[in-house]
Amino acid sequence: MKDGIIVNGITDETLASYFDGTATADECRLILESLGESDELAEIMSISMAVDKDMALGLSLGQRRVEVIPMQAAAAAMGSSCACSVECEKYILNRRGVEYDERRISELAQEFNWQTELGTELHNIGRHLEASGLRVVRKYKCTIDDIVEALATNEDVIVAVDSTELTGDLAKARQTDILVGEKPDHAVVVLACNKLTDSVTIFDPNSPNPTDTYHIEQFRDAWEDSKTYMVTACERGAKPYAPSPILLDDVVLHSGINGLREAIAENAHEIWARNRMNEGWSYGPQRDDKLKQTPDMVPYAELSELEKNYDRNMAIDTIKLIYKLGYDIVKFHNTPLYAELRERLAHADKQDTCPRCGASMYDGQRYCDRCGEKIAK
Amino acid sequence: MSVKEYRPKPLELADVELSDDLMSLAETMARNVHEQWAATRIEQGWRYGEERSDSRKEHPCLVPYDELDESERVYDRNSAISTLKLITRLGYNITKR
Repeated sequence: MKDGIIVNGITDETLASYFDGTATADECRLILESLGESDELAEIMSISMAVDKDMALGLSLGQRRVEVIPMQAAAAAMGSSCACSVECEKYILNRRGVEYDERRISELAQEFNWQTELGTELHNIGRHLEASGLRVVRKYKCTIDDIVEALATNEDVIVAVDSTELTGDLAKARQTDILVGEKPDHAVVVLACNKLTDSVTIFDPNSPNPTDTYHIEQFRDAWEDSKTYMVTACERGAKPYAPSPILLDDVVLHSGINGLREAIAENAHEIWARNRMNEGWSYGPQRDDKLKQTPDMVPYAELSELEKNYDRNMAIDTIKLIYKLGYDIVKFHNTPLYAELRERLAHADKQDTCPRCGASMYDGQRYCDRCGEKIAK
Repeated sequence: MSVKEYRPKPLELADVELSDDLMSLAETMARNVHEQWAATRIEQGWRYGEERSDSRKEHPCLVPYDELDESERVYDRNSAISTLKLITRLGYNITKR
């Protein structure tokens, strides 16, 4: 093998330009066509794809799809969990006369990742209130009326806002909306909301004042950046239970996840069937709770589409939830490039021989990898 | 009718280990599964009742996750843990962004 040539005249330099995206169309085709012929090339490509994946993960850290209220840098440096959301929660606990232990709050924050070095994810606001026995409800798409109603029924209200829009220059804040997109970066406690005077009074952990009052429109602008996200807290049993599942409508899954969906759905059916069987259930043409018979006691493949879809939807919701909570599910071998490689390898049986040296070749190969002969087409 | 007996075989997952990070993810998933279940039931006209009654549409589990019996929470938690283990066993990595 000539120095630096991996296969078919492909050099390290050709590969480097391929990964940089500067290779010519011919070079790209040659590399892809050669994947099936050289283990070395396949290995280099797969390592490089793994690196790409890591880089992609690293890069996406800066633009997480899960919204986060960042910790104050100073507080992070001090090593304590003084995130604004925690300050809001402590404020509420104090107001309600609930005792808490600072150290326990730090421990919980770390143990359950409620607060990380990046801050507090929106769905983790209020966890310390829950841990202290309060009933907490989290909701997007709330209105000023929702706040008024919550306050009127003695609930505590934390909202996520864009702090620049709330406290700063409105014109500047609008500009950052256009430049960096809408993003909540702060949590405050709403103390009063007066629609007659158009004013909202809040406790702001960042403010030197005990309370601050803003015009309702300015508050609304700042609040809208979190899709009007509101967290309410009250005593347990004080209100009827209103479930608030995390919204999953906005999560879009790529089709590569279908195999996983089917696997989760099938396994869920197997677990369900085994549990039912252990409870004495068996197959029957019609559901009968007394005889403990159900038509669904058959292998997943024999279930009706309706039943399969039930399991599938559960599986999809699970996958969406995992994404929404800030995790990626990555099967490295799912990348398009890997599929291409598999395709090439699968067709490696259509072999040919080199007219010059007789080495075996893959159908469509352009260079012999033993003697380097260019094959005329 | 087929006489072949159906024997459910869920994947054996006892030997799959999850990181602390994924265990805390499982807890959040379990919470949400309960919220989702409860939201659906309430939409269908169910409400809280000390004993389950299909005719009156009452269910003892229609309370916030934190007020559920520990056994119910263990069930929800274990389901979430098995799902994460299954995904791991199938060769996927679940990584925090």
